[in-house]
Formats: sequence, C-alpha cells, structure tokens
Amino acid sequence: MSRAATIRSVLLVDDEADIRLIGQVSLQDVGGWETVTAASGEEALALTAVRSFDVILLDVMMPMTDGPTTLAALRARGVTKATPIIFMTAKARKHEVAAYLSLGAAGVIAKPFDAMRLPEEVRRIVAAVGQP
Amino acid sequence: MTVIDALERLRSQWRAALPQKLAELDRALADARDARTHSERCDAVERSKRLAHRLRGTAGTYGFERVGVVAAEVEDRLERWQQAGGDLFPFDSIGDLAPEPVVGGSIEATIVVVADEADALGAALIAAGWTTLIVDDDDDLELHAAQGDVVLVSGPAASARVSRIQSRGVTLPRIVRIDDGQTPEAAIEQLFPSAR
Repeated sequence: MSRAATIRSVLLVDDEADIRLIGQVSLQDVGGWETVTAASGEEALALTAVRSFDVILLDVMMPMTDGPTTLAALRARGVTKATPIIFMTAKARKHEVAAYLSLGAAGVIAKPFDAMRLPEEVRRIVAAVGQP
Repeated sequence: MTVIDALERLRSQWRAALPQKLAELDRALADARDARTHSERCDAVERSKRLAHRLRGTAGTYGFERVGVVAAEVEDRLERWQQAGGDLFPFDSIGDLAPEPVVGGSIEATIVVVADEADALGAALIAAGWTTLIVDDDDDLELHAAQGDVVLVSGPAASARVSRIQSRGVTLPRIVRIDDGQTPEAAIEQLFPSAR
C-alpha cells in the first residue's frame, strides 16, 4: 500500500494568513484531510510536540524561524524524523528546488498553487517518497 | 457550501483587500525611495521585499496571476539592489508597475522580455502600463515562458538565447522580434490592438 493512501492529517505552516486560509480549504475540503495550520516555525514545533501529522507543508521564507531551520528541528526529533515535509515557496527555480531537496524535503510545491490541485500534488510527492 | 463556493468567497475577500495590500507596498517603496540614510533605505527595501514576496506567493493562488508576476518583478529588483546596488527605482511606485489595468484585468497580455538591454526595454513597457516580466537567464526564460503571452526579443545575444531554449524542445509563446528603430510599444500594439 502506498503511503499516499494513508494521509489523514496535514500540518500547513505559513506566516501568510491568506495562504493558510486557502490552503486549509484546499487540503480539508478538496483533499479530505484533517488540516491544522501554524503561523510560524515555532508554532509548528510546538504542535508537533503534542501530536503527529502524516504530512507537513512548510513555507520556506518566514520571519524568526524559517522553513529550512524548522525542517532541521523537525528532523532532529524522533517523532517527526520520517514525516514527509514538503516545502512551499514562491522561489522555485531549478537550483533553489535542488537546494531544498538536499535539505531533506520530500518535495517542493511552487507558489502560486492551484487550490483544486494542491492535494493531488501532495499525494504525488508523498507517494514518490514511499514508506519511511 | 461547495468547495468552489468557498474558494470563490475567499477570492472575493482577497480581491477586496488588494488595494490595501498594494497601498502598503507603495508606502514601503516610497519610504525606500525617500530615505535619508543608507540604513533607513535598507530597512525600507527589506520591508518592501517582504510585502512583495507575500503578494508574489498569494496573488496567483487567488486567481490574480498578473499581480503576482508584477510582485515578483518588484521583489527581484529589490533583491538585486540588495546584492549589487545600482539603480533601485526606475519606477516611482507600485502604481507604475501595477496600474489599474493589471488589477482590473483589462490588460490581456503578459510580456516576457528577453533583450540585450532588458532593463531599459522592460522599464519602457512597464511605464507604458504593460504587465512585463524581464528574464535574465535561460533557466528563467524556460521557467517563465509559460506565464507569458508574448516573448519580446531584442538584440543578438537575446536572439541566441531564445534559439538555444527552443533547440532544447521548450515551447515558447508567440515571439516578437524588435526591429531596429521600432519601439516595443509599437510592436506590441500591432499584435494586441485591443489590449489597452
């Protein structure tokens, strides 16, 4: 069974409220997944300390703790060590995507994104990663 | 309420807030332009860049692609200034880059500029109110070509760049080559007489 079939919950981390709003509608109503949002890397770390998620969508450029720093902190913890983490960014040129993947991201989704197709993109990336 | 209804409601709310978002960016750009010290300018540029970056990521997601393209151009210009200095403001405000037609959607073409004198040509198009995306290298051209309706090419090096991209099998939108003595505005007006 592919890992994509097991997605039940998603954590969306983005400091931009507009992205959290439309992302939640997309992931929850189109994807059918329980979707929790966080407005910062710190909030994401606090949330993942008390519960688990099947996938984490993580904005790259955030004030204070940015996406790469948050990813490193999540990877350092046993509970989120193998959770697929997908970066979302408006800067998705080839060399930038390569750099994000080298940090351990499962994939990169470029902004702007199509709200109707975002869950499909998440499924594709998670399926490509396979079982942890 | 269906998903489509929910998304449409969010788009409508975002559209209503857009003038405020543009005004905020405008104020930040004005602060950068009018700063009395280098330190003040750096702070205002950083703030402007952050606001432009937000618009870049959200506008297209909410269905306002052209606003996002303009915001990307603003962010890239500000980043280039941070890295290399030089001329920060060939435009006075976001109003020059995102005039009402962009917000209202009455301009029907996005122009991707590939030119040996790209900044000057792009500035002329921007000043004329066109949604304009200036690309600096092959990767950018390949990445952004699909966003444009027209690729405007000027100069031998730019022509070689476009040929190189096409030889890789990349499909580009309609290509317009600027002849000697022809203004970019005139070339585009010939193609899109009803777009202004």
